[in-house]
Amino acid sequence: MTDELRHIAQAKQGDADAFSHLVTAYETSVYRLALRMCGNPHDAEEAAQEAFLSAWKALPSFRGDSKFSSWLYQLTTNACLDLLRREKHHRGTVPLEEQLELVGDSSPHQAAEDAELRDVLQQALGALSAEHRQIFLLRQMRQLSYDEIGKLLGLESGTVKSRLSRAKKQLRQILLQQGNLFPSSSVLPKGEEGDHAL
Amino acid sequence: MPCDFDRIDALLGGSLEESERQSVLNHIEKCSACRAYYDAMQMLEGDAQPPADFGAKVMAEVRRTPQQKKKALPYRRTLAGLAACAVLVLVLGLRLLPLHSDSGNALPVDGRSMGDLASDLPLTVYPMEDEALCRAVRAWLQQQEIPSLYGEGLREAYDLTADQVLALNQAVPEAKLPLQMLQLELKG
Repeated sequence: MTDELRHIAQAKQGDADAFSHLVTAYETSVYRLALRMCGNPHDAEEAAQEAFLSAWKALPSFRGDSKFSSWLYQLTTNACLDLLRREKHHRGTVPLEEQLELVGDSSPHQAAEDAELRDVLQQALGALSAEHRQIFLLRQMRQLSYDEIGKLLGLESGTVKSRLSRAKKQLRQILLQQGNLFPSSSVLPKGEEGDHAL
Repeated sequence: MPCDFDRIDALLGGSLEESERQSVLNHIEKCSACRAYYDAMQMLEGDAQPPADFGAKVMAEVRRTPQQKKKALPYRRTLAGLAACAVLVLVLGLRLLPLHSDSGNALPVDGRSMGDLASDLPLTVYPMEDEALCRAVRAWLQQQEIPSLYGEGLREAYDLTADQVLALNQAVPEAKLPLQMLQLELKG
């Protein structure tokens, strides 16, 4: 039995210390997922905390039909949806100066450029409906399969696939509109774009 | 090659053969749309970190919070279903009985009409049709790990206890579920 499985089994029996290992292992991935769902660090932190708390409360009923991580990510996106719905949050984006703080050791110029790209990405994600964003992020960020997403969200995998495809198309359109922010696209001569028919 | 997000995803996931990898990269070089998507997907994960005290805050909350008891076993759900059927049969039976006086009015039972009696009985199945509301309720049910009574593709119905109805109404106030209902059916 792996350490993770042991910690899950112990946490199911109410062992909070065992659960703390799971929190340590997943806090970054849960937080980053929540950040992309909510669009700002404050809400992301709140939703991520709520996700872990939901996992703790519901663990005794966790049957292991899905991977623990998949289940936790679903709880995370649900906590984000609840938070967005409950507080009728606008889809906030991370302000540029806050993003600059998130960037590590890169040069100020690179940091500003990266932050700008992140801002574009977050705006594009924010333009998706929360439900489409949920499916998109579970698939693209956390690599859940169509079947897994369908099972966790109570949807047919065909529905998951079509919603994901719609989300990607919409995202691509928004990114294209903001395309001048992507440095590599600005060096291309006009007329060299590929076939966009999808 | 035409634009193909799945292949770009496969490229990002490192699951392409070298020749196909090269072909997708060549396309990305020339196609600003796909390059925008590729660049964005590379940034999706990001490098943000939770606050330093995040784990401690979570664990403080966890230690204050009791775990939920394990869900009812399937046979208990079956019993709840049987109880619902019994109530339904009772309601129908009362309605079908020839309980009319000469004047044509419903006969009173304990001083009350059949209609009054029926309204006192628990609502057996509460249907919900609004799509957005169903989505919100479904998300809550999944979060609570309350399974549908039937298999995939069949009628989507849930047996709920009064406590669960209360919790659901709190989480999704627009649901406004009646406390006396036994089973919720999502149709939207």
